[in-house]
Amino acid sequence: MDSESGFAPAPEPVNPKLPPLAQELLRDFELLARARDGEDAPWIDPVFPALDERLLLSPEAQATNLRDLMGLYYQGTEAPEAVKLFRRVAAGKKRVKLEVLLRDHRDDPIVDGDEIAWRDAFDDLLTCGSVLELALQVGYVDGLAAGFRDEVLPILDDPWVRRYYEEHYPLLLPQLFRQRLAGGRYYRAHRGPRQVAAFQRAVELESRLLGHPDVRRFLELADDFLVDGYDRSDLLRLAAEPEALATALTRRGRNRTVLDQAAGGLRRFLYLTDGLYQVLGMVEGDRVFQSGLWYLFGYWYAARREAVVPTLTTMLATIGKWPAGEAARAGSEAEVALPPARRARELSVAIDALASGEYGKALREGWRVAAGTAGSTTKNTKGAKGSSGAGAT
Amino acid sequence: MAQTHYTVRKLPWGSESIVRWATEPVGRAVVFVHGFGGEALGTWDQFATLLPLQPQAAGRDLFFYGYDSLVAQAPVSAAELRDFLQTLWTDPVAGVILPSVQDARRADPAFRYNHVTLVAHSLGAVVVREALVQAAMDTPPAPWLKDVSLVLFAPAHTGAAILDLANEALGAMPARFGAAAAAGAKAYAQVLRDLERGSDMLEKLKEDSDDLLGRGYDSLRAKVVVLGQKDRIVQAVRFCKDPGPTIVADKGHIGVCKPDAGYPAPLGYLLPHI
Repeated sequence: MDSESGFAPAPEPVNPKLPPLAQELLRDFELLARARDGEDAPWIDPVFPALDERLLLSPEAQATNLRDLMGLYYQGTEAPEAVKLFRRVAAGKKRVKLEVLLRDHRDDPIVDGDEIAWRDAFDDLLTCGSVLELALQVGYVDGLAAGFRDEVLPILDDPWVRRYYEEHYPLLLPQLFRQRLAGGRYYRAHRGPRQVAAFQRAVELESRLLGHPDVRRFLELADDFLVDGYDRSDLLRLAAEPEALATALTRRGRNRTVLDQAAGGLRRFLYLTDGLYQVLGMVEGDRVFQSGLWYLFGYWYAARREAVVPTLTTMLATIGKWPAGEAARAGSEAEVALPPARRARELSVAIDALASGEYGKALREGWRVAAGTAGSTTKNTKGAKGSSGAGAT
Repeated sequence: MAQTHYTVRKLPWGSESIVRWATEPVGRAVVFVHGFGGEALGTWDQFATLLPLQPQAAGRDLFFYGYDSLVAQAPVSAAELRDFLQTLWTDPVAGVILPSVQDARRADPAFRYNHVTLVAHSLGAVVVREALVQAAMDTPPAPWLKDVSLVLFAPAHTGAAILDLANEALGAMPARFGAAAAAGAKAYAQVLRDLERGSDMLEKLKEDSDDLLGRGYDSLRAKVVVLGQKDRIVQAVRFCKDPGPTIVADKGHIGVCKPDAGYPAPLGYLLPHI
């Protein structure tokens, strides 16, 4: 079957064996039936709002949005444990040195179970702050829960915590969030339907894919951690063995190994990459907010790019060299062989773009400019009430 | 334009199911059911993002139902889907809404759905049809069947080229993972046997559907069947009283149900039926 073959466009549901008059009657009957059902339109033109269109958000909707985000990123995570630990350390009730706990793992590996759990809790808190920063930027929420600012700002202000997210593992969104909470300048994005839709999709990608245990496992191995005796080399070897990879992807239950989990994580991380690239495309033209969305994931594509991106590209390249097996031959003339190949190209473009650092520039440079001039930011006069403050976009 | 949907929430039904709750519910739901090797949300790509931007989607709760399509047999997945649909109709607040939203925004105990659109891709069409047949054969038959609409993308209800479909399962993973399917197929042999053209399961499904259509279960007739012009996996054979397929150019089995700004067809064909 060649590439031109396939179904010819033939949308009319008529029986070719019927004479023309009967066909007309049949068509009329079907149209009548559709009209009776209130479905006389077989097609409705979808709309794609312009980038500068405005989205209305009631205070009630914003309050519900905040509850949703807090449920997903605070109550539903280990973030409160970081708050508790910080309080106890500050009160002298816990003998943990944040300077040591929040060190760079490349200088001194993290192997203690408690340390891993506490660092995960701080990571969750930073992710929560990052998401809230974006939500405040785009007006998806209008302020924070009572007491949250007072609870979190001292943590983000702590010099050892700051070193953790500013130097060891540089994350821009928590820095912006800290500045916003401290009453400093903040960015306000245009609140349009596309911006909000892109934000909601980014939250979905972050919570459903980046936060998935399999993805975390993949990233650990890709980042060259040693887990249960597996490391990056096992991941790369798996990519070279089609049958082993297929088995890893389909194994279920308790029999799943760390490598099986990582294989599943690779699959999800590729979906994430694809989805993130689409999200950024949705807000193409709104460069600063686009940049902010990228920063929610940028750590893996930028700060850790030397570890994760080569692993990803090497695995894809290895898979691309697989010899055509029986299944591939069967599918070689079928369309199934085409989308994966096309998607591989699209994915390479997406990975290159996401790892290039270009997406990070707009927000980073805007923030630097804002330190000296008003730029595109606003003086926050309401503390955690952030984006409701008066000011230009 | 106002915000019409909240961000995604987990749905404690099926496998890794997701829901986007409407901000102003009108008692209508759209339930997406993925195909072989698909994923609750991944199969539909940008549907969950682009559909809420459409005025016609306002007030509709959007469910992205997941199930273990690689290993579980279709009738088993169908039974679980039937249970979900049954609860959606009979006890939506306690059974579906509150376990997901966990707050008072949708706690009105009187809330009921009056219409559900089932949107299925590939194997998902078999699972959905089997779920509806099972619901019709319950004692007493599910009364909500008359308020269901079917929208199908590349349905596998008349069988599929199973080797290619197996290929697709892992091919759904971007890049050339489909080539691993020959090996992976061992793990999901029964599902594939069920989808072989002329399989006992598909013959029974057709027989039961014909019987129910003859007894007035008109909702078993799909509102629209959308096929990609380049689809080589499923046949363009009409199922029972379904309308003839609507063909979209330059799309294959995988891409036909994935809308984006340059390919609005999946949205355009769905919108009249929600």
